[in-house]
Amino acid sequence: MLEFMQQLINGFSLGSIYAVLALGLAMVYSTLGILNFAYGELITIVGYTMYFATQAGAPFLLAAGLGITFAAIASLLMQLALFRPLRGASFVTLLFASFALSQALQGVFRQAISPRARGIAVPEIFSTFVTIGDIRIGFLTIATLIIALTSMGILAVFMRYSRSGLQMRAAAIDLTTTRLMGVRANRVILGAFAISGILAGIAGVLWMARTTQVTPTSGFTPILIAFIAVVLGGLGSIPGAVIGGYIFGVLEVFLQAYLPIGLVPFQFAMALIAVSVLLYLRPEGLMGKRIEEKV
Amino acid sequence: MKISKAILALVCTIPLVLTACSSGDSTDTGATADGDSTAASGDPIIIGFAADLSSTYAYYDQPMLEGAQLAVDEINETGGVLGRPLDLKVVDIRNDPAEATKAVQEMIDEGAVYLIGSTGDVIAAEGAIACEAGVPISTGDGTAPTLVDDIGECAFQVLMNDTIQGATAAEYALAQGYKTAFLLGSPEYAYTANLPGYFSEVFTAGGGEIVGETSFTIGAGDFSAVVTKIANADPAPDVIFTPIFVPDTPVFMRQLRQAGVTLPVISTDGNLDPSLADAGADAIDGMVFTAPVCTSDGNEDIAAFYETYNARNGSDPSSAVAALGYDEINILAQTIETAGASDSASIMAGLANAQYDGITGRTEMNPETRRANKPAAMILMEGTNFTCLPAPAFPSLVPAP
Repeated sequence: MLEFMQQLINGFSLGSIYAVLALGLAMVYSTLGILNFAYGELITIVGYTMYFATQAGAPFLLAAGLGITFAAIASLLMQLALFRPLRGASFVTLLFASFALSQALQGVFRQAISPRARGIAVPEIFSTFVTIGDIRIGFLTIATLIIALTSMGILAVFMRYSRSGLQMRAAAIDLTTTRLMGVRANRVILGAFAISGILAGIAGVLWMARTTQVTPTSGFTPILIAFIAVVLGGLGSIPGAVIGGYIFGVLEVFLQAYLPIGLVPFQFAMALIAVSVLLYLRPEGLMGKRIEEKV
Repeated sequence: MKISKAILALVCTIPLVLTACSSGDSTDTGATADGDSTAASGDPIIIGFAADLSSTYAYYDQPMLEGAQLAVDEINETGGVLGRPLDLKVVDIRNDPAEATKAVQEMIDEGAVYLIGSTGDVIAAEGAIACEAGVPISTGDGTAPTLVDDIGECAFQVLMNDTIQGATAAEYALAQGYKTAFLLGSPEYAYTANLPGYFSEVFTAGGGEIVGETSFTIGAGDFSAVVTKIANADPAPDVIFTPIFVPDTPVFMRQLRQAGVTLPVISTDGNLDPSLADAGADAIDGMVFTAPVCTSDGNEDIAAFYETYNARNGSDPSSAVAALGYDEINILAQTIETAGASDSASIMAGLANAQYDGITGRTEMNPETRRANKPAAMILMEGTNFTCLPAPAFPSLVPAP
């Protein structure tokens, strides 16, 4: 029971990273209908920024702040350099363009930095743990949960009560009508990319604090899971993406912890089967709306 | 490449390079031991290395290449093998079996008589092509003993293998007085799947007890589930044995210590890389692992190797694995010299019985198994420094693969 509780907390902690990531993906998807595959490279950018910053002697918090800033800038540049010129292109064209960008960036990291992992120094406090009753939980596990929940809370308030948030929500429902009402599309879209970049930055910092190293392909695993979380939660649904992230995090930890040893290599496959079953039962995802498109 | 006489003279003091130097003497090109460089001439003897230089196994294939290239250069400068130069052809196959198949086929078509295998799983694809063409292939830095039988008659393992390092690790654990052990493996690769078994066989035969076992996912990035299981193991073990390897090890060790688990950890040769130190002194201080070689105890041959490498490349090789690549080429050169022929069949016949004193120790090939009987070294992490433990004897009990 004790171990079960600890694993549950592990699952929620990992899930909250996936949730933040999925949220960033969903933000862009709901406004523009783009699934940005190069989103994973934002995590890698956070990693390398933190690596170079800590190497240069910057304290961890400054390195983390720089990482988030660079991720947000990179996200904006992706929109300006890649997606804006392609506006109006089909969903598949945009998906492939983002996939190409992802591969190109990985190649750049590999050639310009190194194919080998680079270690990121993290503060001593990350190696401590807290005891609640009989449950022993790592400081980082708790910190991850709190930071992720806080970030998502702030975003929810921003979307609910600010003018920009209202514009983004309106654009998510119908971009054309929103523009007709005098909202500048470019501003809304840039806003969505900026928020998406900041979320990738936060998730990137949490991921790097956990793995303590960055490789050219660091972003691949988390982005794949964020994709699955978005689809599981219901494409276009922002709360759905968050729920999808948590479900996948808990699923991953529990399968790792409780599958018989011989089956552990199939952990990811089993998690995907579970997702497939859920999607079979609810093709629109957990929070997605059933939409009948007129042909 | 022009190098100073002093360095070449130094290099020639290394016993194995003496072979290269003296073999140069016996050829028409007439290299001399005082360091006069006499380049080999004639048709080159082609060696192929379809290596992973840009993905997971770059940790091992890159240093293998660095060491092998140094050996090739030295041999060529001192008269070559049978008076002919060695030509090391290298292709980065990025751990992709399709690329590996293509690269190996091309190398064989170009006349390669010997192949160094990649450390990754793609060696199965490389080996299939090699055996079909009758060209010998080594397992490179791959230590799984099953590789040789899986690939076939053309495969050779010229370094220490996992049965030896698993047994060495277990004997070390028993000598430390550990009575109970927790095993952490992964069924994904032969290396991570079988090493816990080899350890356990020798550990239990010596009176130890395995009190728990679980598995990890290679490259997971998050080991919290595994770490929680270890932290809750009941009864708590005296020691953890795991064949986890870089870049996973620093991540795992950090997360293990973060969960408050201070148990000693014994691991294996996949950690012979400077990036292990990325975990930070707190996480890896006291960790012990077996390795094919320990380079930090001031061994003269190793020191000379590092000095030469540094003089030529301006930096150290990327890890101690380079010493294995260096020895492998020299074993091959000696085999060809002894056989007096450089065709694949002669090399295979010669390699099966090769005996060689290299910078990483004595290699004695067992013609039955085509694997080397070579003792493992043991390395202790003191903070982030790799220090050599006293060289372990060849284990008294070596499990069957």
